[in-house]
Amino acid sequence: MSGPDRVRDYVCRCEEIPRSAVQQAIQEGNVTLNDIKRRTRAGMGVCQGIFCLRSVAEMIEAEAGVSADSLEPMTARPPARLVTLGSLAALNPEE
Amino acid sequence: MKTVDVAVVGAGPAGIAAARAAAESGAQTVLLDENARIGGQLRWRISLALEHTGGFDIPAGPGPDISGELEHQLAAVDNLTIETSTVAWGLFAGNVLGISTEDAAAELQARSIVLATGSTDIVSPFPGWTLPGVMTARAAQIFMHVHRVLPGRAWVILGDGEEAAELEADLERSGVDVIARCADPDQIRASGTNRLAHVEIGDAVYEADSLAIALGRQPDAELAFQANAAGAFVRDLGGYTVNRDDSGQTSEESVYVAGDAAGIATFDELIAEGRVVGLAAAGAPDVEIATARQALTAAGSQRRSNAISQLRLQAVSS
Repeated sequence: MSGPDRVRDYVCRCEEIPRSAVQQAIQEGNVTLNDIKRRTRAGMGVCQGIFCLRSVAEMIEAEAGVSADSLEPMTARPPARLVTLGSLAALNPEE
Repeated sequence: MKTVDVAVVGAGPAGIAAARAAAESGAQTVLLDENARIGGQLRWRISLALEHTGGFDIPAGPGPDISGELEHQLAAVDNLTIETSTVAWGLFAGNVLGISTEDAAAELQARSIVLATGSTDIVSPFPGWTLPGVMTARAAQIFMHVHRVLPGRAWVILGDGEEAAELEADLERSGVDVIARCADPDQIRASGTNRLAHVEIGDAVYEADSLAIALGRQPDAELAFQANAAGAFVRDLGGYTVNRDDSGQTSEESVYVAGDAAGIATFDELIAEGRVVGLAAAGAPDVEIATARQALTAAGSQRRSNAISQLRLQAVSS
């Protein structure tokens, strides 16, 4: 895939998920944002879907005719930003 | 665990206004920001910051030290602590924020939490959009106005709305050429060996070292969603955001959202809304909140207030 004009068409850049993988998942019947996330890993990376959530919603709308306005966002779970495991391990909830 | 009256996440225009209003009405208030300096978008949207200083009184003139001015003004406010380089990464049951500095995590509990977490750039993937040299409009503005680095010489801008016009003006003021603009992400294609070299728009090919994605901004209310706040996708607010009552409180008690995180707004709206939400979060007298609401109505655009009313929660009677 390398060459002078190599072009990559990612939807989710954090997890390097190409447009074709999301399209295929939609064609297989995954038409919610959480389904696409579980099936393809789009939205599971460093940015937690901030950048690709809307693109995936628009693809579901275009490919499956489900209105983007009616789609629930991907489930939000901590951490919302990068945190080192060491700093979390040092947390003492009893304090 | 450290406990305060009001914790405000995000020290942009809305967060600063909220924290200041809360602290001035007597609540022990902490203002958190992940950046090293306060100001949020005031730091990188310089042209707008200077036109719309409503309430912040930043002097006009070249190269203003916006963060320094704001720090100076807030230093005079009692009951207010500012924690910069501090990331809020979680919002848990019982109004507990998970926060981190570079190497230490902590929990912070607050009677009321105000999320003024702002917005992110809307991106629309196109072939080659992950090449080095392709960036969002905000990234380009942060390079120029925060880090004083000009990231490229020959620019293409994707987008035809306000963000595209604002960036084009910024670039031209910095003395660089915008060689092409494209309105439609489906018509653009970026290519290059290890970084951006060419941009195709339809049948035309341009030699470019930088391509800015300026398609608009979307609310970032992720921490509220972590706390199970109800929300929806509303195009006129920029994307997914939360339902709120007329004090900015979400469906989760004592969790408030203010500013762009609740729907993309003008600077005047951000400051006026931050004040309403800060007062409510601090439990200020109703008459003060009512006065602040009137100021928000005067500052607010019809389009945003109509869109927000679609997401209006009925106030919980106490």
